[in-house]
Amino acid sequence: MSRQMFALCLIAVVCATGAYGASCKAKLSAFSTQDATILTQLAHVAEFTLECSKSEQPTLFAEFPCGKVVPVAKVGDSKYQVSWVEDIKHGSSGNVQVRLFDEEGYANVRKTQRDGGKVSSVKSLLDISVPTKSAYKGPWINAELLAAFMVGGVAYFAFTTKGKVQS
Amino acid sequence: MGSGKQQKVQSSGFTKEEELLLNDFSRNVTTKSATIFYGNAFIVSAVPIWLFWRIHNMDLWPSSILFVLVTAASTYLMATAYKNIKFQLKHKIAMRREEAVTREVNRQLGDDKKVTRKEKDERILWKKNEVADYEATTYSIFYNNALYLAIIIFISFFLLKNATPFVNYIFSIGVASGVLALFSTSAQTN
Repeated sequence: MSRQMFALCLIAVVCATGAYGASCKAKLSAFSTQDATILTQLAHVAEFTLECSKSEQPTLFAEFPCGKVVPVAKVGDSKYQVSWVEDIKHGSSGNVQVRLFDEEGYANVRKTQRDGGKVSSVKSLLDISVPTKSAYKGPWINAELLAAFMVGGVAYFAFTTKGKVQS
Repeated sequence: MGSGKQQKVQSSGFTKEEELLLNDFSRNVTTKSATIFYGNAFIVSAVPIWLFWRIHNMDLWPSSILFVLVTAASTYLMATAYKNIKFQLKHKIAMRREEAVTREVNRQLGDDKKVTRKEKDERILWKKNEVADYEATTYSIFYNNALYLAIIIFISFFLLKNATPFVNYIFSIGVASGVLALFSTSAQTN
């Protein structure tokens, strides 16, 4: 009897933990800072709608590739938003893999962190790929530097030509 | 008219050829040259006003007295520099162009028997002087303008980039025009 109960509980737990992961989908839109000429940090915002087979709307936590885990803001019905900033010097473009955890998954993450294990080994609810763009950081060469080089070249030409005429 | 000119030449004690030769080595500039020099000097001295107004964010009207004073001083110094550099170059250019001018004048006069040898020499001298004057004037303006703007950009954007626009303007314009006027007076070494 106890074996049968244990088997039933095990099946129930497996079904419960796989409820979101197996059937959740995210519809994502992303925004990145476009002009960073007068900024010190770049912001990336990802907004996604979670569609799960069950009508539940779990509280989510996001883990970034750097290992930082932050809560995901719920901004509407099944709508979530996650954002982060990074220094302009370290800013890059491309897809950023964000792992989403529900409360149970987050508890496992915390537990793993406490035990000193790898967070990547914890199964996530859903992984989303957030496309990020690099921002405009100004022209490659400063206008004053370009002007200095140009006028310096002309002045050099004038100076050498004078030398030639006088020689 | 012709006799009047002859009389004038005689009254100065020099022949026309000598007058032309003297003119070749003279530091004096004609009214036309002076007008060109002062006009150019004014334009090139006024151009940095735009730079300091729009780029260095100086207020145009409150700084207008400063702009006028510095531009006037710079115009005078630049015109002096033009004049001195022209004087340094004119004779050298005349020597370089002598052969070509002689050939050109000889080709133009060709077989004209009415022109005497002396008259031909005078015409060559006059033409050479004119060519050298024109080239020395234009080159002097180009040389001084190029160096002036280069010095201003270097000082205002790099040396005094952290100074206030007021100080930056006075020093960059003052140093640029002052240095050019000063070095234009240097004696030729060769």
